[in-house]
Amino acid sequence: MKLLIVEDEHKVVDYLRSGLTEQGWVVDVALDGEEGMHLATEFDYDVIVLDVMLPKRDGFSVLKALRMRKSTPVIMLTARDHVNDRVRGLREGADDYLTKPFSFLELVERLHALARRTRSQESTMIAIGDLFVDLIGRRATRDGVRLDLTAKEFQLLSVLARRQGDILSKTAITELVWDVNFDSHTNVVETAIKRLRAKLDGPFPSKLLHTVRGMGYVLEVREEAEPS
Amino acid sequence: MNRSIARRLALMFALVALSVFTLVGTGLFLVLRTQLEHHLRESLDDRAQVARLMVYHAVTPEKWRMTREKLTNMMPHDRSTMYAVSSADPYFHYGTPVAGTVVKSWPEGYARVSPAGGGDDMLIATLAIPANAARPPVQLQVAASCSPNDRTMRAFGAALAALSALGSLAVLLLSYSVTRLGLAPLRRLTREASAVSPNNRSQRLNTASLPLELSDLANSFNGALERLDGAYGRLESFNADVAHELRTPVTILIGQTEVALTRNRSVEDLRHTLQSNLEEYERMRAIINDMLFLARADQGERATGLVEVSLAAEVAHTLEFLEIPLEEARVHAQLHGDAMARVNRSLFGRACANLLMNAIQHCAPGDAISVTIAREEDHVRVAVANPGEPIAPAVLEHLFDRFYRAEVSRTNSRENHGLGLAIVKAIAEMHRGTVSAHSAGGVNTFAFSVAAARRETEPPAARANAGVPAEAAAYSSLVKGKSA
Repeated sequence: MKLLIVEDEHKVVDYLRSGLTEQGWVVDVALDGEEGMHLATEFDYDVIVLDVMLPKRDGFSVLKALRMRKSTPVIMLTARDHVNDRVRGLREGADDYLTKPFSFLELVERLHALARRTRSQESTMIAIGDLFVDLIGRRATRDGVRLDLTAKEFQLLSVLARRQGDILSKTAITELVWDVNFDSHTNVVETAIKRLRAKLDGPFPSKLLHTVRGMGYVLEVREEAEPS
Repeated sequence: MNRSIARRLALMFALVALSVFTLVGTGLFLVLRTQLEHHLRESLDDRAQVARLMVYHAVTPEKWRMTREKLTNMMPHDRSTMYAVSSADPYFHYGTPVAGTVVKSWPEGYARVSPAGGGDDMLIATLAIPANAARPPVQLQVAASCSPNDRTMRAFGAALAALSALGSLAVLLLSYSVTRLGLAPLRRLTREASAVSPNNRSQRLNTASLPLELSDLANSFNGALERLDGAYGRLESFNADVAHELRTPVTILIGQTEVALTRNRSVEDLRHTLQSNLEEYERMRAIINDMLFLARADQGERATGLVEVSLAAEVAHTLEFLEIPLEEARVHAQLHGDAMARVNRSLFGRACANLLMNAIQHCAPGDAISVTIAREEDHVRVAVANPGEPIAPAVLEHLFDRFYRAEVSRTNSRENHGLGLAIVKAIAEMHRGTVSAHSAGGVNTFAFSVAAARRETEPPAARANAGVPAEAAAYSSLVKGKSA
């Protein structure tokens, strides 16, 4: 999928470009508002990441000009942490908003969310190795054995399974499983993962639920044993 | 020029004096003029009466001739009094009547006339004398010059004006020096106030020897200093705390990165370092976000994206989220009461979670936390109570301060960098509410309040739905950006 980054801070551009390219995005970069507006209107992108503070033309003005011609999904980035700024961005047609400092993982989350809006219905039965998750029947089996999960544990498993292979941050998990979208400074997610892991991976030699330290959790089949 | 109070007051006093002098002077002037006019009319009357009797009794031509002579004798040389008689019969004419424009007239038959040919104004009295024997009816005019009066009035007026001006000038000068003298305490106050600076913030104005009017000012100034001093102190310690909080992760980052780079490390070691770095970055981000949040609340920002909800349902939602921490601490939570309020659900949840986590951390296994929602006039109070050691009043009043940690909870510093309760306070204030902490009978209660929904007949569900669209939904997605 094709993505345009409009941002003037080179370091930010560099890590976003390499990170997103690795995630399979085709990335174009504009370093100022004029260039950004030119690229955004001339070419078709799946998503645009737009900084608010830009040389030559600020993000709001780029967005305004873009919206007169196109409805490409836009995520705004800003260092200003003011509600007014956010509301203004959203009113003028931004689809989402991230306040600096933000985590790369969170940006990937949002990009996925925006891209998913146009994606078709996902399957109701997910298979990961010998794990099967039945989203309709709300049951999970591994190696043919039904896992005895609580409602929350199943919800956590299905959230991870739907996005298998993607790293999910604690913030994303908190929101998707508990519908809580504030910073709680609790160990709720760690403990829930620990419990799920005991039931999911405990009795089996191959592990599916992995911790990516400092970032989050991922559900996937890995060839070698996880480094301790 | 108006900058100086002494000058301004002196000028105002002088103006007041001038007005009073003018008023009094004008009054005196008018009284004198009336009196002089009255006097002139009386003397005119006397002469008119004498002349009338003479003319009245001049019943024959012979007597008329004698009367004319008498009238001529009565006329002074300076012609300040003049007599004239006119009649249909030319024989009974005498003198020349004063003619000219009437300046002023009185109902008793007097008139002040400005003569046509110039000269001083004359006051004239005109009497009609009926026919008597051989004499036909005649008109007697007696005129008196106004010029002595006018001269007196002019001299008097000039003297008054000069005295008023002199008096005003004297008042100006005197009041200036008196005011300067009276304002001496103010200058002393100014000197003291100008000595107050961030370097000696504890200095206060000396109010003991000040006059009543200034001691009020000095007291309120001292009060303002007190408040500013407090705020400045908090800001200073806040900055120090922030620097301190950030110094720890930065020290770790620099140190472990240096260690990692001094030798050839395996990829695994480097990954380990980066992962550890990331944890410190996350910690810094959490601090920065919380600080920005508190700063915005300090600036008086109000919560947006308000939705009318049942607070019990919101608390229950938070309790569900905290199920695991509750379970691990082996603590039971009970929820009592309910009320409707317009809140930002995400912020409200955060405040509840912070209070509940605080309670969980201070509970012993087997304890019960009680959450009580109660409407109090125009506020809804959410109180979280847990059994615990009594908290000293001196500690209680600081618990909602930023980075304030009672010694007992120091061990949790890694978890929520001492801003948890400060954020509860900020959220309460963003919802026009307050916070409170009580410790009594072995139960510690922490509470916050939010402005209550107005009691309306409209069903709450309909209102909640009406409030939800675009902005609120958008905002809730934004809050994600802020937290992590």
